[in-house]
Amino acid sequence: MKTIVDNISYTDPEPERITLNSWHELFKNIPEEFIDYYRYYRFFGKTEWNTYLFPPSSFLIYGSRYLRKLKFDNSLASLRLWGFMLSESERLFRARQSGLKIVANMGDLGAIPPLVYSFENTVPFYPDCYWWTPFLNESNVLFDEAKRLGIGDDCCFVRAALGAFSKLAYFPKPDLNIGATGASCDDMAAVLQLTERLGHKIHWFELIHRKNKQTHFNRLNFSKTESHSVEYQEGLKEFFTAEFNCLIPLLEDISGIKFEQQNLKNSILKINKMREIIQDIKHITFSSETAPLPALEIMNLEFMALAGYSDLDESIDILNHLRDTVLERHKLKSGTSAKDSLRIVWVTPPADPLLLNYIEDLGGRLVGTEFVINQALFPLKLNENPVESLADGLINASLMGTAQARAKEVIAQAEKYNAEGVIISNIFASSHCASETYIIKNEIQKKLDIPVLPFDVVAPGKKQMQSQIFNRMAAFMELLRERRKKIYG
Amino acid sequence: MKNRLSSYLTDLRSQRKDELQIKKKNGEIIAGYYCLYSPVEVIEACGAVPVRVMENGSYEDETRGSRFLKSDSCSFCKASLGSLTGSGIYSCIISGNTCDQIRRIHEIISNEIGIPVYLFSNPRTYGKDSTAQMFRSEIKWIIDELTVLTGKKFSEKLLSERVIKWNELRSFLKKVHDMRKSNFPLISGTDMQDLIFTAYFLGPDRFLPVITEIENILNEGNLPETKDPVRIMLGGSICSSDDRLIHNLIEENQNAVIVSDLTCTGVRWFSNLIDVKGTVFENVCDYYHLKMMCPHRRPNYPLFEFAAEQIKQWKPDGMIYRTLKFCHPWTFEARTFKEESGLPVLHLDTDYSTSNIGQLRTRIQAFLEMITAKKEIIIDENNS
Repeated sequence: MKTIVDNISYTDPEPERITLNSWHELFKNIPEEFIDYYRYYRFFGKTEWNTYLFPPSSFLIYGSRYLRKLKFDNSLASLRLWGFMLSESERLFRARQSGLKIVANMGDLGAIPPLVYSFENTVPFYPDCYWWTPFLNESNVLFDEAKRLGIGDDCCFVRAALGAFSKLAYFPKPDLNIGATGASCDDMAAVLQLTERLGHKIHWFELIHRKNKQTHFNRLNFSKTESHSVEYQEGLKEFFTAEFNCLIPLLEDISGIKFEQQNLKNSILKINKMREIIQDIKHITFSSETAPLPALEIMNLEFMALAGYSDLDESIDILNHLRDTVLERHKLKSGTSAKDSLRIVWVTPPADPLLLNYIEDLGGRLVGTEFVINQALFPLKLNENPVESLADGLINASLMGTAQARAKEVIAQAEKYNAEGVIISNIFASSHCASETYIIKNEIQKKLDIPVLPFDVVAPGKKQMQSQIFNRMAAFMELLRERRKKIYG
Repeated sequence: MKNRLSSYLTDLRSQRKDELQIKKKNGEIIAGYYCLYSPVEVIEACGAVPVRVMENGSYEDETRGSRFLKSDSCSFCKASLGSLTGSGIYSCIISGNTCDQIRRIHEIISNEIGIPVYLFSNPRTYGKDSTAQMFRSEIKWIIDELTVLTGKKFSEKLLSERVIKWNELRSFLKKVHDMRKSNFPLISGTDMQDLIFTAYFLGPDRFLPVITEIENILNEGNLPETKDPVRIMLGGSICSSDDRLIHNLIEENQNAVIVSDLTCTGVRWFSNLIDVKGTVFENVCDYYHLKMMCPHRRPNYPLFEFAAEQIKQWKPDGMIYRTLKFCHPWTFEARTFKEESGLPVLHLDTDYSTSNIGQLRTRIQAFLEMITAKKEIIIDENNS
């Protein structure tokens, strides 16, 4: 893939997953003009601080020590993605310095940012995503802080967000905190409650359980979302429209800007662009002969859908670049995995990014994901009242419905992309994984009769336990290989 | 520890079990329900018999239910599934969406065990018209579904009658609970827990006729006179009907008595009454939506206010905060209770297994001794 900036070009090498050291060497070939060109918050112009194209080793120095162990896609577009993603903390502090208003969204996983972005001086972000920080930094600092405040190992890794709120060294104190509760995640809700006790006022946003139609329901009417045809019971859309409407005065208050429906429509159009490109990239990657983009980059770009890593415009630009890269690789039938890689659907994002590298080292590739963020992935149907469009999108939320509904999403992808196995990466003691895994596994095996491997991702630093997970993954892949031989000869 | 009261309550429950079997045989709808938020008055007004699903505190039940859940699931959920497998008594299950794990086990109950479940939304937030309205429409839906099942008509008049009866039942329990304010409580925590469960298990039609007998038994005195027992408030996870280990360990030596609690099957269940003036249906909904507090409400400060009021009036010397393993709503609030209650707090995290009885006993007795020693120091200081 050739990228041209200011008449200067750079051509990606043959697709490959490379180490941090290799990127360090490869980076020397990238023209200075590219480093100068790619910036976040471009509306500030070319400042001393808004570049983000660095080799991964730069972030290693800033504390993300785990990067030494990871492998990265060697395209320029992927490098942009990594730099952009890893510079989000810095970007938020710059946003604060520059007078932008910071809105922490928690638990809704992508449903609220379109509304936040409709106010031109507000920036949304997700403290939930700091659950990766202990892994990337190989440090339990955030977990230790959360434990000190009352939440220990018997909670999902999102407890890192509590530590982050306490320390306020990972993001500036938000101007507004919006916390989703209800049919979302109890662990996150408990983290939010304790966060509020630290002095960060939370505006609580209610999520109502989305029912499945059951044969024994005689008196309930159901509709389907316009954005993803997900079934839901009457009354839900109106309720969520009211919840979104409650946020408007709060956003007006912090931004000093009056809400305009047209601004929200424009914001939704942009968000839709982002979501369309993500869906496109995923479809090309999962359906290609050989994976044009590795699993870890797929996860990183999928999580861009939550809030554009706090800069929607630059996110879209990076996604366009990634899509071009993936399209070219697809045309050339080149990619980072072997043609005979085992096809895996991955359920629940692994907090330990190394696992996604490992599945590829074992000869696998991702052909589907259910990363609990369905509400962020599908373009919204723009209605006369755009707030209703937001409500419609929110109803698709992965955790708001039944585990059976989640399984349905997994099955749909597994069927579409001919998956040979499913991996469910849980978090020990998290509120959802404990009770959903049986249901999801059962449904998949009933409908598809393919092997399913559930396991618990271990906390950072527990090397012996991590090697047990590796063993189980290796055994699973051997099973799939043997199975393939039996089926196809 | 068996005494006349506990024997009497056991007999009542045994008779009730037989009655329920007969009712089921005769085609009546036995609606099992989870949680404080399930409106028993509404269930009865629809012609169904409400029975709380809580005969499931045994290790055997927990083991049986484990096949449906991972090892890091809450013990109550596992035991619940274990007890429901092969239970046969429930025509359906009615429940509010409380915690994540309860929400998910209902899928298993419905799909694997085969009992139809009606899961209504129970908003965590409150103080907004939209959430109050949502709760009301969910309860209306429960009414619609239940009346199809029972074939009976629901009316405000019938609901009003049931509210009056249940209020009477709650008032009686409140009266008994008030007796625990005294220095020599007439009822142990274990017996109080059994009394509460029996009351709700029987329902007001069967329970109210026996309250005179219960009062007589109480007045006979069930507790040996212990000089100045350590007064304990029990906090933490739900205590189902078979789950009395902690109660027994606290009260076995008669040097301590549980005078109040925060659990989902204790004092909170009857602390308030439903307003009978005005529109009864709305009052019932407001009662459950606004007055029933628990750790997963957001924000959950009213639960702590409730605790503070109990501490002020029932004057416990300490709190034993027992959480079931992986019970997130209560576990994550342990530290806050420690800091805010103003009491010495002992946090125990356990499951239904009895293998750690020795350790629990040691910790509880040490805690009680510590409090006793502290009290003696205070008495000596006051005297000097």
